[in-house]
Amino acid sequence: MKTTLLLIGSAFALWSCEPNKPMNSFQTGLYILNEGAFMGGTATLTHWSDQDSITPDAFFVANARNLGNLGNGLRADGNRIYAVLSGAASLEVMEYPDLVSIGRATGFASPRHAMVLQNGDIALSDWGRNRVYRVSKSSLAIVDSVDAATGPEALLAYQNELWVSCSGGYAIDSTVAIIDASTFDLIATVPVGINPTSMVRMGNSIYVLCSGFTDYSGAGGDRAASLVRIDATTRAVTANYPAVGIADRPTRLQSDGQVLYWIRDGYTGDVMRMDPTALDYPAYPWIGGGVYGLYVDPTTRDVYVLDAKDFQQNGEVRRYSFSGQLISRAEAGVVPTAAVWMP
Amino acid sequence: MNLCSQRGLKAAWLLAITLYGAPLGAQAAPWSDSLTSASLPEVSVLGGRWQTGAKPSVQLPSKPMGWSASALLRSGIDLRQTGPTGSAWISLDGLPSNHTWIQWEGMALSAADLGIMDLQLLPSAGLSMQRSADGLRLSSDSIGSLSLESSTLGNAGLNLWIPGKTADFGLSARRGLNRYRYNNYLGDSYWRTGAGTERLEFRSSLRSSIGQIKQSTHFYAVWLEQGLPESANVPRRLGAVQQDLRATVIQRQEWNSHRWEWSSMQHAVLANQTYDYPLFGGIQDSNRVQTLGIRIQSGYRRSGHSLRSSLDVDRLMAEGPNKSEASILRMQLMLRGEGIVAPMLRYSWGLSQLRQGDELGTLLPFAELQRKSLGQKASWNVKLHRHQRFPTLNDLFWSPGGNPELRPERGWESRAKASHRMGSLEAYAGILRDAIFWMPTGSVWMPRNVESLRRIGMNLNSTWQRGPWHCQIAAQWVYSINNSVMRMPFVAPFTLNIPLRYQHKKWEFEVFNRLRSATPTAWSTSRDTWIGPQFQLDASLRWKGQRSSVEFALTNATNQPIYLQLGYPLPGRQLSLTWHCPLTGIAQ
Repeated sequence: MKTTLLLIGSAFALWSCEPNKPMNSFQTGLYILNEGAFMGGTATLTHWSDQDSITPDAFFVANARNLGNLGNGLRADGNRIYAVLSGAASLEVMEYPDLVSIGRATGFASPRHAMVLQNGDIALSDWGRNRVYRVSKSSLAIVDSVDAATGPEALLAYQNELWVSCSGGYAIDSTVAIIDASTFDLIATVPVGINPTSMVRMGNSIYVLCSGFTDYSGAGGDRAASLVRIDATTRAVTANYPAVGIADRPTRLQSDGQVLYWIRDGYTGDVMRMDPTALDYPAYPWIGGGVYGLYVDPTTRDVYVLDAKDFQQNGEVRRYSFSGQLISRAEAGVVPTAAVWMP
Repeated sequence: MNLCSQRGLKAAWLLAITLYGAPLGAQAAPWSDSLTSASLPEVSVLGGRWQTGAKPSVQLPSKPMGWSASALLRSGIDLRQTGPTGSAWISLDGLPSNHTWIQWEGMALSAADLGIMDLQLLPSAGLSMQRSADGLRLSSDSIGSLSLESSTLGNAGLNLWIPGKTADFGLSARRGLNRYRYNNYLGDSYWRTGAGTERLEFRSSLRSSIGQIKQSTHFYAVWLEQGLPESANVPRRLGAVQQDLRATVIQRQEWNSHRWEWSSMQHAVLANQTYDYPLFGGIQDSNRVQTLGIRIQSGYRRSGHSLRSSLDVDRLMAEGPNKSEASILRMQLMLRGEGIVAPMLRYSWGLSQLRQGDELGTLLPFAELQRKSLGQKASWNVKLHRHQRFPTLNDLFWSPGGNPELRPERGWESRAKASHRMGSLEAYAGILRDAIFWMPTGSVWMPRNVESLRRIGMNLNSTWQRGPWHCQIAAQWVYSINNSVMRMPFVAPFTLNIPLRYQHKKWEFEVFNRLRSATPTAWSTSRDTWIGPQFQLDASLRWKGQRSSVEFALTNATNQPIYLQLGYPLPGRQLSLTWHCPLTGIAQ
């Protein structure tokens, strides 16, 4: 009897002991932020490992609580993942790879996206107050802020500058604001197309995708979308590509460093692809329909398409190669909106 | 009175007719005394729906703080509500809320733009709500009363109802602070904020006659201000504030002879709603809805059979920043027959035709057979009907997203019910084609026709009484799915209610056990969109004196987390006190 118990106890000890691996370690794979159920739901964080295992709500597994309402933006650096909760008005900071919450930054109205600055602090755009905040990396407290134009949306760090697209919120804007990342002062404004919603940098060029505007009052105030290229050094607009379809409302600009990708429309659009040497805005989609979010891995150049389906079911992530071949797919949460690959 | 005698039977049916038929202004006069067998209850001809006259399983008396979520849920009604005493929408038998038919004075109450009716905008003073097989009926209490209620949520209300021979008067006033503890998504406990409501209602009726023509006018007006609380998954903050002002007037003329009957009803509804949300720089919105209509009915009866016709013409109008052109004319023509084919066997049939704007609807047939056994110990009832619902003003004209190409919904429903002294069992099945639901399309949400909504369900009721003990079991099961086999949102697949009552002299003690299965809140199998199963236990202690009664009610006695909408917790344990005094001596 004693021997049996000893053997059983040893087996348990060996089984439960995983040296050099913390509890709930999720490690290499794709992390997908899901907005969550409409109205009173909560966001979730799905982990799709490189071994094809899926953890539907990895944040809850690690922290035994929910993220909060309406996940909107996801960002990562080497050892942290940052999730922006627009409804819960907070920035959740998680340790990687165990996803244990380090803390929550609060004090926002309607935060949209985050960007890690050179010194490790986090910049956050906020529609509710038309402001950009700086959050301390150590205390997670708001330490600085600057007023931006209407609807500050996408953030891009370039050298010691922070570029902010002013998307217009529920109205119209057409500027990109440039902020000194050290002093957090507005230093320049670049006029672009209507309602710039996303940006990427390739080399010394910054591409700004402008979504256009639909006048739902029927007064004929529709404005076309466009893709704008800016020289990062001179801040001059060097190219302007008007969208082909007058009703196109492109969004989610991404890049693998060599090619540009975006979604043609707000809820269920096609994936568009454009070589930076192209002379015109692409006329035809690269991957057809049903796409809500987009992520491109700059290392592998794989394209991850986030399909929200009917916005009520669990969504789906589809992984495509650079050549457009479907490699694999996995189930995500309700309304997958953003993703990041962690090595 | 010996109910087994012929006169006793007639008297019993006349009493039943009076109880069921009193609030329905378009009711025909009781049948001729020349009938040799007992007559069955009258079945009214109503605009757009057919009422079985089935005995309701639960009566919901109105209270000063309105119809409580607990009482509604106990009667098997599916309910959506984000906070106590706030706006609430109900659905029946697996159908969406916009298929719920609520009648007041023979007129269907529903908002012309949304197509559904907020319970908080229903008249409540001096009325009770009765759930029947097809819908809900608000019926006037023939006894005047004064009621006061208060609760530990910081709520208080008053109901005054004075019915008279030629005039009725009702007043209802209440204020709800709705302060209760809840846990947010981080597990932090807070006092609920932004869920307060204030409501004022005035209701009046006038009756007169000009020769043989009876004239009546019914009016009610409601002012409601409510906070729309934020979900528990966002920071604790004040949400939006909504104000509603609604006035409804119905005027009716009736004429009855031995064989002929005629009535005309005119109605008008004026409603205004404002919305104010402080975030995003402030969002203010206002909407106005108006409805004008007329109904003309006529009927002929002879030898136990009757034939009726009805014509309804309504103009529906709405104005607001998101309604580009919202005005439409709706018409309905109905023909209905009923009678007795054999002792205790009654039939009903009907044809109805709807028209909205330029679109003519489908012919809608109806057939029903009903049989009661001698002594009224058992009965059965089967019904088959086709129904149709046109898109609402918001469906057609909302900007952005309104869809003028929408097709009207069309459906069939069949029902069968068997009743016995001990209880009843009802089964139903239905299919709804081209059901209208809003969904994201391109860059906006817009309503679209989905292929079908199929549903089957059963309602079981059983009562048991022995001495001072009375127990009831009410179970509902419904399977309501779309063509993708997704369950209908906000329809609980299964509910079980077991009220238990004990009476001793002037005291009455009652315990309500309610079990509600996990319920979807979207067309989704994702458990992130489902509300988990819920159990609730309520208890009440009533003392009935000669001149008044007092009730202590403990709701959610075990302090369970209760949700009717994802992310919006309802109160935990709460205590309320109600004092009710019938105002006897008022001339009836």
